[in-house]
Amino acid sequence: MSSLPDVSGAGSRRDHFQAVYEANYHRVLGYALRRVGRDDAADVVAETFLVAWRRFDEVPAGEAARLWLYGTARRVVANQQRGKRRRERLTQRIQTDVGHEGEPCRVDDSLGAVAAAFARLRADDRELLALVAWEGLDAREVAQVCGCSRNAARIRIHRARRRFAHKLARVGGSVKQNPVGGHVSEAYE
Amino acid sequence: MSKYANPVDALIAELAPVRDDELLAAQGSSDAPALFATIVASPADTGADRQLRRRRGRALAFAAAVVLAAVLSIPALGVGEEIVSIFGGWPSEPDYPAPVPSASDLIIVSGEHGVAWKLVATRSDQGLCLGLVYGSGRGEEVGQASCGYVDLRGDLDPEVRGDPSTKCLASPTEVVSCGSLPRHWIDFAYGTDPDPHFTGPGKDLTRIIVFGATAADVARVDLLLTNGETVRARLVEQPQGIGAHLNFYWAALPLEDGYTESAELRIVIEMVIARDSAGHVLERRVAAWNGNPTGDPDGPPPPSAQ
Repeated sequence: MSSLPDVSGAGSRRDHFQAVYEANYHRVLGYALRRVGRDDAADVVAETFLVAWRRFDEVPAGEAARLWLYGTARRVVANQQRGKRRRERLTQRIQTDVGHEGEPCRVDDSLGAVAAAFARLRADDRELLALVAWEGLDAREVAQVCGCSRNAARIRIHRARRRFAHKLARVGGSVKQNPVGGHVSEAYE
Repeated sequence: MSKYANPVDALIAELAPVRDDELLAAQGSSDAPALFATIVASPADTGADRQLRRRRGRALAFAAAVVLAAVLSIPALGVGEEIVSIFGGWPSEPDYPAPVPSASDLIIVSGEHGVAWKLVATRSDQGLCLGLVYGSGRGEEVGQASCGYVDLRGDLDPEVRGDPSTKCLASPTEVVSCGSLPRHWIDFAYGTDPDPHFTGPGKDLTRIIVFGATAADVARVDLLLTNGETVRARLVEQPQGIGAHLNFYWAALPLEDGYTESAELRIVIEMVIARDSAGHVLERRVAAWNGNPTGDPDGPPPPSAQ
């Protein structure tokens, strides 16, 4: 990003924040777009970076800043969805029972059974798997984002994968792995 | 060849509606510069601001804890020279004065599930104080705790029963009068919530710990969970030192399937059932709310559950 404006009062804090902002804006935007609609994603990005600016002395340096931002964005999304659920209840506009499945997620519907199985996961399972598959994080990084121990993250990711495979089987798909190259295909029975 | 070692990850990666590299290419024409200018023009936080919020947050937590249950930060144990109680360290609020313990905390039971925890209770000028304390052991412990009116069956003195004329916080939203409630055998469960295990101070707990108090004639407590399972809680019968005929129950529930995404314990526990020694049901309770302050299973459900 080369067109950031020169803001009066610039100092080292602003410069450091700008570096974090430039390096991570598209990542935070991507994180948000993969979880909420475009309009809400803009709010998530703004809120996440506003929190980062206000609490910049808590933002770790280097690559760890990305994980801190993901963790903040995750809470912003959760708050946004909780608020949305409350508003929907108040105005009695809920048409379907979100019940145990949590909020719907944004996925490519053309992917059929995989998308259906993913959408049927609990929200926290979806988030764990998305952090791995969409944000490319490993268990250590997931642990930092979620604020849990690495071992707990590893266990929860394992369980989430297992539950996904189970739900995929229930909607007619299966997880299969090519033993030669690790190629993945979706099989329907 | 997939870059993912696990086939599940590869399948889910295909679901992503947008990739970061696509956004990076479009970043120059995005709203990023305007957002940056807006953000850095806003005031930054200071350490003093955060300290104030922390103090306020603890006070608010306490206010809720007086009447039901709330997350509570406990910076130090051992307040007072003779009476040693975690409940003595709470700040007062104008509407919710801090309880004054009349005895040192009694450890009802302790355990370890990821981190060490202990269930403690004491008598106070506001009634029974009951709390679950867990933490890092590095000087700060966290817990769920409550002091105040308990509507348990039995002849309980004021330092255990509390004052039924006080206000009760009835989940989910409002404060209602506690008075004139029927006598019960069992309290609805308190406990750690699913969500804090994932993000909050209880992140290293590997179980959801639920707990509560019962009248002395309760011999068995069953917890009906929202996933359909029924779990028999463990019972601690009339521990010495409380000075009242009370039992306590607790259970360590696994973080497993069937719990919804929620920070509310009542979403995990659908009903608490008290039985006598012959297995007969003495009472069943669901989580109370201001439209159903006694937790009557046949009462109206809270709006969020409708």
